[in-house]
Amino acid sequence: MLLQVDDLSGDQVQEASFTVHRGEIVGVAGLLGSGCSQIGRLVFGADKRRGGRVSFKGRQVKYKSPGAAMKDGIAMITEDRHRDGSFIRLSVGENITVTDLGRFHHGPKLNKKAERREVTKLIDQFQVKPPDPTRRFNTLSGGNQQKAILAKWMRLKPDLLICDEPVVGVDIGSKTDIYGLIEEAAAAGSGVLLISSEFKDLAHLCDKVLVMRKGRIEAQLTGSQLNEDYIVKLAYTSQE
Amino acid sequence: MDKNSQETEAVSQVETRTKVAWDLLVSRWAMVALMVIMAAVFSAILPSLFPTYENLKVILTTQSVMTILAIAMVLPLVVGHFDLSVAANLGLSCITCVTFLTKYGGQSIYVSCLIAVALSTFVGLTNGLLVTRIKINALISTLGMSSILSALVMAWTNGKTLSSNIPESLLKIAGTEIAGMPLPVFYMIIIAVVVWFFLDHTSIGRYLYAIGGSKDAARLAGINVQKLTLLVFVLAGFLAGIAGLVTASRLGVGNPTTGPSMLLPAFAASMLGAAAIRPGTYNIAGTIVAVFTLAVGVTGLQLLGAAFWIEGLFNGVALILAVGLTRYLQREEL
Repeated sequence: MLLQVDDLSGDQVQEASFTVHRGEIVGVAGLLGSGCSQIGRLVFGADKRRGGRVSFKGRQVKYKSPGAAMKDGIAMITEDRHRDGSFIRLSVGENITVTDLGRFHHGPKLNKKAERREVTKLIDQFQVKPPDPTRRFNTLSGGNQQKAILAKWMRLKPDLLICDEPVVGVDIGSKTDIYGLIEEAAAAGSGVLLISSEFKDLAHLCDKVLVMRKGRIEAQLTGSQLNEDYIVKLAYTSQE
Repeated sequence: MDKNSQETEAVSQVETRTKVAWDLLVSRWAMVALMVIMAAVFSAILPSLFPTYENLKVILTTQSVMTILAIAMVLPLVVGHFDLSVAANLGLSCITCVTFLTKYGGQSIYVSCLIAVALSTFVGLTNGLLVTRIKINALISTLGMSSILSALVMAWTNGKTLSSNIPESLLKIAGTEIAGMPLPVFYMIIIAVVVWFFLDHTSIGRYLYAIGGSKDAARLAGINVQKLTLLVFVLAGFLAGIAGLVTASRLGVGNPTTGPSMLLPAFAASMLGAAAIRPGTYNIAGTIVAVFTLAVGVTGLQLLGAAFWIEGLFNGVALILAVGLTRYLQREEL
């Protein structure tokens, strides 16, 4: 068991319980305001927890900040990449390496050559176009911004990757690339919590989907229940 | 797409790229060019007054304190906060140092300087706590702090200038010359290099620029926004304290009105600094260029016989121009 959440509550989430195993992609489906975004933020230590327990890698955790969650091996791609997911005026390279600069120095001086080497490698691996680390982040297309953000988190080799609406405002080609990269991460042994309003994609990608409505998990779908129509039905109307 | 239009597109792309590179070059160096042109014009008009070694020395020495103060303001600006208390804090350090030297049994120069810098650093810490813990807008809290510090200095000195029993050791801090240049010039260079290294070549510097870009994104990338914001205010207080010691030594007296009048030129320079060398970004090299561009302009005009109020006018215009220019540069894709 990688992540076990029991009765987790925040100001938009009530008593959510679920688990994520290594190699598993767990979807969280819900409409705007259903609280699905906050599930990720609560686990990541970004929002204030009102109650409940979270156990990660077999240990009870309560992160005071995202930094603490990151140290423990959790990464989170935020819902709104312009507001809190990126630094639009910094370069693509600076955006990618900001999650961990420690590896680029011995002593006080930042080794910019080593940084450049890693960025060039990641830009190539995550197919960020144009492959220019010095470009200002906001000059990239939405899809390429998101791939750079994925690179920024995947370079930490997280045990748990939380993705909140990773394909919003992204072109079809990049969307396929991004889903491919998420599946790759799961295949490599990370657990993935994929929060999305693209129900069709969730049904296709996930091993399990939590459907949220009014801050509560209405249902956990697996196997043959996992189809778009059923998710839509549950997300819009409460179960009879 | 036929071959011809492909070629046209390729040509226009090269042209765009050349234009962008050219624009960047211009915005980087425009202020340096302005400074050189002003210096050349003043030299042509006033050949016996402006282009002299003495004048160069005067500008460098007087502006070294201003540069240190402007650098102190740049640090909070990088993370997106104003510190309007640095000038009054300089005044506090100045008066503290002289008071401990001349009163309270005449403390040694080391003890007096240490207490002065410690007090200024503590003021910086207080600013930082007000902003990060109590979440008071920095513009307001540091403006309030500035007024409080000036009042405390007046209360402490009873508004009187301390000019008796000034020891030689104080005057040496700024008065000593090395290779024909007074020590403050070297203090300025050392501080500029250290802070430049800190901002441009360490992780913390990078994190500071990230915080300045977006506090939310910085927090969600694992950066301790509160701690680093506190740090920049502490450093600003420390540098203001150092600038205060140099000022005390240059003046050779403890004047309770010293400080606050330096706020506007330092503020103008730190804002204007974002319009040079690294356009759209608060940076040390740009700040130094800005300090000396303002100094050349003001000194030249004064030597030409301009009225005494020219300095205020010049700095005020520069401040407004600086903010407008920085806004413009940040919008550009540079």
